[in-house]
Amino acid sequence: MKKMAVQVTGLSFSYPDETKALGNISFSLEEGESLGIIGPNGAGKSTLLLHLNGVLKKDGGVRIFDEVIGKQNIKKIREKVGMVFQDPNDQLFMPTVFDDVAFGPLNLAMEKEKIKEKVTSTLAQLGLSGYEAKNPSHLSLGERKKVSLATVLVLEPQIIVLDEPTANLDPGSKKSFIRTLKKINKTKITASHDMDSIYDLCSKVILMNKGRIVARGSAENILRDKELLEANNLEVPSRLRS
Amino acid sequence: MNPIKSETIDHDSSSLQTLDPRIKIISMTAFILVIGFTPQSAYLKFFLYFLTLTAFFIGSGINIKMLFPRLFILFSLLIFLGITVFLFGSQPSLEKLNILWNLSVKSVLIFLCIGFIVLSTELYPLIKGFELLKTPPIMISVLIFAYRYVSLFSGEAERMRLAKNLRTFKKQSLKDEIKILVHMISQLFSRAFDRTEKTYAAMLSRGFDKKIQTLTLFKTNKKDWIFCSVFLCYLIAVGVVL
Repeated sequence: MKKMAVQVTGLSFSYPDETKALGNISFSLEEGESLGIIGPNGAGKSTLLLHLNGVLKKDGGVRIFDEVIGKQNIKKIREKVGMVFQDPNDQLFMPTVFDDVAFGPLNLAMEKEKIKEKVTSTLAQLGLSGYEAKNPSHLSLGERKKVSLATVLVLEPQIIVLDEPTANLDPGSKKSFIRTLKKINKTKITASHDMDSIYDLCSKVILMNKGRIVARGSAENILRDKELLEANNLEVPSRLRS
Repeated sequence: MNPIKSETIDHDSSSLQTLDPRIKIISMTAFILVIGFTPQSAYLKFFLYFLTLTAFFIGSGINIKMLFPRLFILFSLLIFLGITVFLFGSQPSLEKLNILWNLSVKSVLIFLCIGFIVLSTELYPLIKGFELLKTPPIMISVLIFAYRYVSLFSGEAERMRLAKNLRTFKKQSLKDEIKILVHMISQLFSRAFDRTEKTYAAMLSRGFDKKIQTLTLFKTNKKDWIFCSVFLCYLIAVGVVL
């Protein structure tokens, strides 16, 4: 029997200015599954993702592999859940690709030789060998997205959380990035309003709007429901349009 | 355009440039101390210091023109100081002239020492050099972030300026220009604040624990230690014995 990777129960969240971002969110995800979280801008997708590795905290609301996220296990949780942010300029804050990819392992106090090995092999896995000394500012957006993914993959997380992974990419870079993501055999949670990439990457989908779950089901069913999607400012993926 | 990149030079072109950054920092710090403690009447010593620094600049292939804009600022300051002393102070005296000479010669020499370190070393290895020499972590973090994000913010400022120009149809008064500039600066601050929050979230999700760590890939070799020992002996000979 497969393990339960993520369990979210009755999660609500308001920002300090009292803007309600999430209201009574509940869902679960088995190990190895790929979940898409779709919804229009401001639906609460990114806020929900920030709860999955404890950047935003709510007591008891989120369980990762049966462990409730808390202060005492936050390091362990962040080893298990890797998060790729929407804008690579937020994710890549070190002056070289090498140091950025090595940042996580260094914080986990891995051995230096092992870190060098892991950084080199992760970059090679994503076709980024030779990029070690480059400054992330000088890379294309597609390359920066891949480096962002490398910063997470190097930690060998069991769950990968992706926030708008294909935002602003040109069609070629988008295809290449989706191909890369498909090759990663881990539990994946992808938040996006790019329906095509959700259709490519996910088997299950949750539709959110105004901080609440509006619908849930298989990607095939939700993404074909034109009426439901249009009512929530979304559209059917181009491949499913007849 | 990256404002840092625009000033970099070929850092592998001479053996002085390829010295370990720590060796350069230690040697130049010792040089600065010796300059600082040299009596104002030791004209021969100052001449030798100047010759030494000229040799360093020529030996490392640094274009002296790169120093001029900074020297201009320093000279303006010294001229202002001179005018203040001689025009607005009490009666000019030989003692005041000596103080001005002391201040001028030492500040120019110290400026050249710093110029040598900065222009003969790539910025990031230099920051790593300071990190290894146990500079307070907060300073290292500030330098790392400045290095990574300065080009990003200058790019944003440039795009804002362009957007403003494209919507400006008549010549504006200086007052209006200043008003717009203030608004643009406040926008930049607010964007910087927003980015800070997101970057901090990205750091937290990769196990950040209040200290930025990097993996250093450079080592000192025989050549570095020979340079350091010979130079320190030279400083003792000129600064103390002569």
